[in-house]
Amino acid sequence: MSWETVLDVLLATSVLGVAVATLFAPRRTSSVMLFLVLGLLLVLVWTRLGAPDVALAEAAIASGVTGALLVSALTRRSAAGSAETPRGGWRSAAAELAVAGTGGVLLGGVLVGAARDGLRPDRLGDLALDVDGVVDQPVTTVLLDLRALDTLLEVAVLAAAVLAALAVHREGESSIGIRSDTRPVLVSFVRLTTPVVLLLTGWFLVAGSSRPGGAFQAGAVLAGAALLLLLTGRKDLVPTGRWLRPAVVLGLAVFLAAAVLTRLVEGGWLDLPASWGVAVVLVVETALVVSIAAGLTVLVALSRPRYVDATASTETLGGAAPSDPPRRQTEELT
Amino acid sequence: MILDVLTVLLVTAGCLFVTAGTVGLLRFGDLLQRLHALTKADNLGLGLIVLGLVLQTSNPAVAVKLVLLWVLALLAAATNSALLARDAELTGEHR
Repeated sequence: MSWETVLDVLLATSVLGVAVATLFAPRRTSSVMLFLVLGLLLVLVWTRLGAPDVALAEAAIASGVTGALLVSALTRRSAAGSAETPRGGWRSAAAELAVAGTGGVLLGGVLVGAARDGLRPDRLGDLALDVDGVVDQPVTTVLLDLRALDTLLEVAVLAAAVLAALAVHREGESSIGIRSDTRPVLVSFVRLTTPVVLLLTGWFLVAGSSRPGGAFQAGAVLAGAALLLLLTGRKDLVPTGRWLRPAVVLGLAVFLAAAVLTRLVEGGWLDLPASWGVAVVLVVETALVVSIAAGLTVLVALSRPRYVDATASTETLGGAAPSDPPRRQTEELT
Repeated sequence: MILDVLTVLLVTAGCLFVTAGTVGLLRFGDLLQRLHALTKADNLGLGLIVLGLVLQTSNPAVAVKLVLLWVLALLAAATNSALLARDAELTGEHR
């Protein structure tokens, strides 16, 4: 048994251990923190499996953005009431176990079926490697060439979710102006890191055609930069207000336009021609980055607790800390 | 060979520092003490690990990226702990 096997077994065991600990942690805070740890471990697992694209997406979206969403939900809830999760007796434990068992069996069946299908000659993985796609990177080939319709629908779902969140939220896009925090430490940190993050976004976007990377990773990273800028009060650099909804649907619109264009010129929906297919992929990906970044930013920003006075920053510090529950509660009631 | 020995020494030392920082995080009593343990020990530990890995590459681009990683981690850790400590001071949660 080689050292690598030992490491892999350790990694797999800790993933399972952390997953169980996440589910059974007594406090919600611990659950969320353990879930973030689980995300980090999954990044390592994907890397070990040789899937850097998934690892990047997991790091940026699953750990980064979902982590921010969970933490802001957590601080909001603990401000409104108790952060303790009420635990049911043996009855609810049995129900949870039954649900987990059924889910596990069903998922196992799907996985076994998928593994069996994967043995057939025309499986997608070989197809992606063999096909003379418009871009070199097989993952991007699958996402935007072989299974472009799937990606289009994913983008549509994200756009619909963000628009619904904006519509349902009480203040809509006016509440995007989350309370700014202009402490010098934070402001200079954001000033230093924003150029690096923008560089990384561009790199992910361009690298997506030849190396691991792509629109989803780039969009999630850009969303992080946008949130940091919003947090430090740089609303001038982040499009809010009337530019918000166009930014959210831009990716979908460009994707649909590309579909129509390929239908008119090539005769097939999203049938990318070899000559100018790369340009289509790059334009669609660029638009997707904007939309994904805008969508994720909106989702996180809307989930932030809103305060009465958006400009009072230096006096009532506390970031997302549950420091002033009474004020927030009354504000939520009104 | 000498480089390999140096790498092993540096990475081991780095791991020891990170472990010490984690033990501090678990064992110390309040937020400020924990931050104190984490920021110093972890940053030094990560620096030693990065230094050990830099010795293994002959590609300057990889070396620069590794060092950049450390600098960014330093920045983020310093900012985070400064913000956390300030919050704790203002809300009195560290007492």
